[in-house]
Amino acid sequence: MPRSTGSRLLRQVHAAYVVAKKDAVIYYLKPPVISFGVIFPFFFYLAFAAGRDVPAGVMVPGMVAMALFFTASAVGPLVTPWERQARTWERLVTSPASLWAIIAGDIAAGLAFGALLSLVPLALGIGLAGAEVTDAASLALGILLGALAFSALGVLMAAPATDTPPQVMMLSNLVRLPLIFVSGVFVPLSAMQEWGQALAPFSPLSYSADLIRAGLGGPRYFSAGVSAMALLGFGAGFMILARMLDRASQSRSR
Amino acid sequence: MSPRLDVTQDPVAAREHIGVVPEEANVYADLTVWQNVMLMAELHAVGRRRRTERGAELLGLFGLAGCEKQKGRDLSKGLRQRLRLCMALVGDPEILFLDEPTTGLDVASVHAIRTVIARMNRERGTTVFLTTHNIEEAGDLCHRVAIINEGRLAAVDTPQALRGTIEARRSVEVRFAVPDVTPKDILPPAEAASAVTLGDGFRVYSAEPGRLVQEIAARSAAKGIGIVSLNTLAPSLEDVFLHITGTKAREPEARDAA
Repeated sequence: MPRSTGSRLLRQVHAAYVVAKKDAVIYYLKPPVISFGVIFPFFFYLAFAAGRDVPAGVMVPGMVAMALFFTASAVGPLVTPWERQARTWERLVTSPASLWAIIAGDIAAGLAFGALLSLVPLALGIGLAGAEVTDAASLALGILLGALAFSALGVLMAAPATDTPPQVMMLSNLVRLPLIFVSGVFVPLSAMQEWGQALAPFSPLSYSADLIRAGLGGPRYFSAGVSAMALLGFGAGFMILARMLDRASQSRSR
Repeated sequence: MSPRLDVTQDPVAAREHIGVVPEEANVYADLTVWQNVMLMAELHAVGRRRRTERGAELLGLFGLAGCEKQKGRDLSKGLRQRLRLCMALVGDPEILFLDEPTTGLDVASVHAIRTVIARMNRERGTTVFLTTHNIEEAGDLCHRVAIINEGRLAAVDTPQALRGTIEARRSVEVRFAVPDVTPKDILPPAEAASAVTLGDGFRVYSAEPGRLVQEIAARSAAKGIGIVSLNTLAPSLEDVFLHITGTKAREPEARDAA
């Protein structure tokens, strides 16, 4: 009897979970993930905020959003190139896991890494800087959907056929760094210059930072619904693009 | 019995029934032997109890019991290849694809791998597709052998039937008690030219091996050269391969000349 669609979908969801678990065990503690996902945003934050009189209401949401952005997008760029280099990628693509499931698993691994590590600056902000959660739903949406979109962005950056992780890490920083400046991470979008406000809607970080800021009592620039939909759209779009690029690179390598 | 599946229409469903050991693929260096096997079992959706039992059974079969906690990076080439096979077999595939499974391995690993492959086919009915440049291995392990030349299927049949296609290319192999005896010392010029020199003798192909045996024996005796062994040999699969690919390789030149 051919398997039902529901049963096939469940198997692929399970395969994505297995891939995410494997990624967590192997890649969370890899030096590039730690340096670009944890150390890099920490020093980036210091460069912005140290010595300046930044109010906690501005500093804490910015810190959480930036940490989330870097951590969630740090895993994806490493996994596929690393696996291609280590020649384990063939093992995955010849298993019963579909390309969708492999990509979804990689995204889930980045999502979990980003969401969990962003709790550290959030806890520090609440405990040491006196920040307050005023809208838990917005904060949770900002962190979870932001982690989804950023992690998918990381996976997309790894999709072009290369087996050289440093190349992808460089590319990912070329994409990530400019986004920091147009996304209202340290300056609320409403206070940004016109050109910044015009560019902000094109960055997923804008919506995540806006939700997180609203969750911690700050002003809201987009409505919660718009931000949530935008982040879901970015996540889905990046995922579809990543699959297209992976398929293309598989066809080329045949 | 599995449902009929079209691998081009539904490759994911087809892969549930297939185990693959690609020549290029590696094991996860950062995972332990046990984690590597369990990872593939989970991807094949093998239940917890079944995968634990099957994993332990396969590690035992391939001589990896006791290595469960070793990381993939710490294994020798031979042990890594055994682990690759465990990973391919843990999902109990009905079809197993092996790409050069024994190339460059130590004798013990080659023996272990060949034994298990034959056993999987015999006891579980697993269909094994073996890609190899080791023609004698193909002849020993396979029920049917396909010879591919320049990307085209040049021949496919049982090893016995393939050998039968060049029965005329039987050969005579002689080994002498003294070194440095060349084919020219013993054979007529026409046959000496086609002989293959060995360390202490030579092999010569002939449609009349009986006559050649008598001739070699007589000429050696006349020259006072002692013979250690003198055998007629049926064509090997290697001979079949050379015969088929050699013929095919000359065809384009012939066409160009025409």
